[in-house]
Amino acid sequence: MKAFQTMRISSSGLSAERLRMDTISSNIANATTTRTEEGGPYRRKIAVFQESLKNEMNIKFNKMQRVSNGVRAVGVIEDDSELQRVFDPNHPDANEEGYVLMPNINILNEMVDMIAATRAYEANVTAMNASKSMLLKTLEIGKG
Amino acid sequence: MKINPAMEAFLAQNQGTNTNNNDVKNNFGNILKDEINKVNELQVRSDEANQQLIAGESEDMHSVLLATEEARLALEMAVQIRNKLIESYQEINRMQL
Amino acid sequence: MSDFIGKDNTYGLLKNALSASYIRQETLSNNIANVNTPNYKANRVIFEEELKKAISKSHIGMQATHQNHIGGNVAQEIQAKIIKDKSTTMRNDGNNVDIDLEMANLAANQLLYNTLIQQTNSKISTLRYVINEGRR
Repeated sequence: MKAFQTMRISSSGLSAERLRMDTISSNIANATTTRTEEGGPYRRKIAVFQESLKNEMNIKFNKMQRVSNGVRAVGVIEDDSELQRVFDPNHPDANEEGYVLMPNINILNEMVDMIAATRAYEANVTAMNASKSMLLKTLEIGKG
Repeated sequence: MKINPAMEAFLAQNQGTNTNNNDVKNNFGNILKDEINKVNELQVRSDEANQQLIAGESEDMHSVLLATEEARLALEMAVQIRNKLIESYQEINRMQL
Repeated sequence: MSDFIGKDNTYGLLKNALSASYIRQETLSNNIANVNTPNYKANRVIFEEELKKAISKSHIGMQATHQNHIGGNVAQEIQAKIIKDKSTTMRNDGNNVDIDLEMANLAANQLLYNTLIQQTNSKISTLRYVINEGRR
């Protein structure tokens, strides 16, 4: 229902940030993974967001227009940056020169992203609560 | 209420005729009919808003609730006026001639 | 006469303000949901400034032939508008949402909306009281 659009927008934000958290958790957990199903070490994954738009009829000007409808995740892509080369001849996956290709994950970066995602998630929760409180207050019209 | 001189003259002219009483009654009757239609219109608008709400097409909640309240107020006002009219009619009936 | 509440200037203004506040809530929610979207620019809702401009314009040297033509009814026609905040950003991803600003505006808007609802309710209660207590 169009009346609850605000809550839907906030919930889209919650979903997007949750996906981001999953991606970050996966990155942190796989920070030293050298073997994956496709072969080669784990590559850092990034969740890509895009503003979600929808077509809505503008009653005043009587034409369709695109309005904002929250956010949506368009996908999870792999980071193409350079893999780290670590010198460790004793590692089972070391090449002839003794270098191992490790995932291109910087734990500190992931931590910062995690904090940002958490903060955004909390902000969306606050927004959702604000909307709910407003709608509940609206129900008081006509009472006493 | 401003009655301009031309209107005054017109009214003075019709004062002497016998149809004066009927004119007054018709005007009042029309006004009453008008007002009842307006009250009904507000009720219809409120019903439409409710239908939109149920169908999930209402733009926001407060306009639906406010429409219902406005219709209710108009109806209450109409009922009170009706009560007053009936009271005054009964009062007139009780008058000893 | 039965649309007496529709002719009440303040009531009409309250309804308008409620709609504007509701649209603002949608806009703020959208900004917050898109706080991490690359190249997203925040939206803003303008209503109060337009209202002030309309009211002050109507006070400057205009002749009124009827007492209802100026002031109240002009203010009632102002609608809320959504505009893009084109300010530049210091963030790498091109997103210019300031989360703290949005949160503050969110709290303020929620309070404003609740207050408007309460005031509208008050008006309706008063009218109802007058209507029903009028009978002896």
